[in-house]
Amino acid sequence: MYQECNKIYRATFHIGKYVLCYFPIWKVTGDSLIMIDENRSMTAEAQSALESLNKIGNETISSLRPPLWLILMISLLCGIFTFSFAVSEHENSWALGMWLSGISVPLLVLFAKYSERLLGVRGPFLPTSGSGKVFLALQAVFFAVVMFVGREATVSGRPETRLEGAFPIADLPLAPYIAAVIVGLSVAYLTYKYPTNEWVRQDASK
Amino acid sequence: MKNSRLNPVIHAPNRLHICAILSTAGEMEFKWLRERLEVSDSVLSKHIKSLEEAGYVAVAKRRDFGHRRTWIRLNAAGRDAYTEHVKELKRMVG
Repeated sequence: MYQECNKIYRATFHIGKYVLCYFPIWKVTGDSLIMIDENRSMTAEAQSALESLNKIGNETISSLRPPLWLILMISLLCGIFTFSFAVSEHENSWALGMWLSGISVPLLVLFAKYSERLLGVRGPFLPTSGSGKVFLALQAVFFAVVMFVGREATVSGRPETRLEGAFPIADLPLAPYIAAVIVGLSVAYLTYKYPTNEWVRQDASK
Repeated sequence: MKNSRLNPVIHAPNRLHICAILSTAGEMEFKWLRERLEVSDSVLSKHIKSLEEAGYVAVAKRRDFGHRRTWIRLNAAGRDAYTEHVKELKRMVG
């Protein structure tokens, strides 16, 4: 029979109540096998838990996604805002377009939040996790850079304001259109894939 | 799971899913959460109670649009505990 004595397994031989002899045997082999099985089971359990978390995260994101028409409206208005910002001057009508789209986007976002609340979800305006905040900050920097470059390229590309030896992008007549398309598509993609603004790893199939 | 730093309160499947949903979406209404998890009122109440007693979720009852609604959200301690739990799961998978 086997006994555990000071955490060492020993084989003992008995005659009646007397122990004749004992010596350690198969401890390493037996324990190692048990440990390997335990580790495999723990890893499988952890893997399964992580997969279920990923699945439920994807399902939650899908259920929180705004309707497609709203995503299209917001992205279109963001594109119009970028274009208007790039080509607006003091007295042209694009300044009005910039103001109108600039007001409409927050109103549509508020509408999306209101409908979410009716359904029973109150998402925070700003992400709560650290990764979400970094993700949002990167988005803000990206959009600011695209808008700034679009505006600068348009303004410095005009014959009356063009500087001698200006950067080649300044001569790009499609700059405001390109900036508007980049912003519009990016907003649509980000709103569709990350409606909560949280950085969540998603399956390629989703 | 022996020899691991998994949080026993969070590790139960339904509670883990509650934390996952709340960490993704902020504050949720009880009914919405129940439909997501496909569990009964009593089961969800029990799990929410456990998480509340552990200090991981905050439950608030408010009147919205003329209806009394129960809102549940993960607080800072719950978010930290959930993040640590997921980290530990990832460490175990390697």
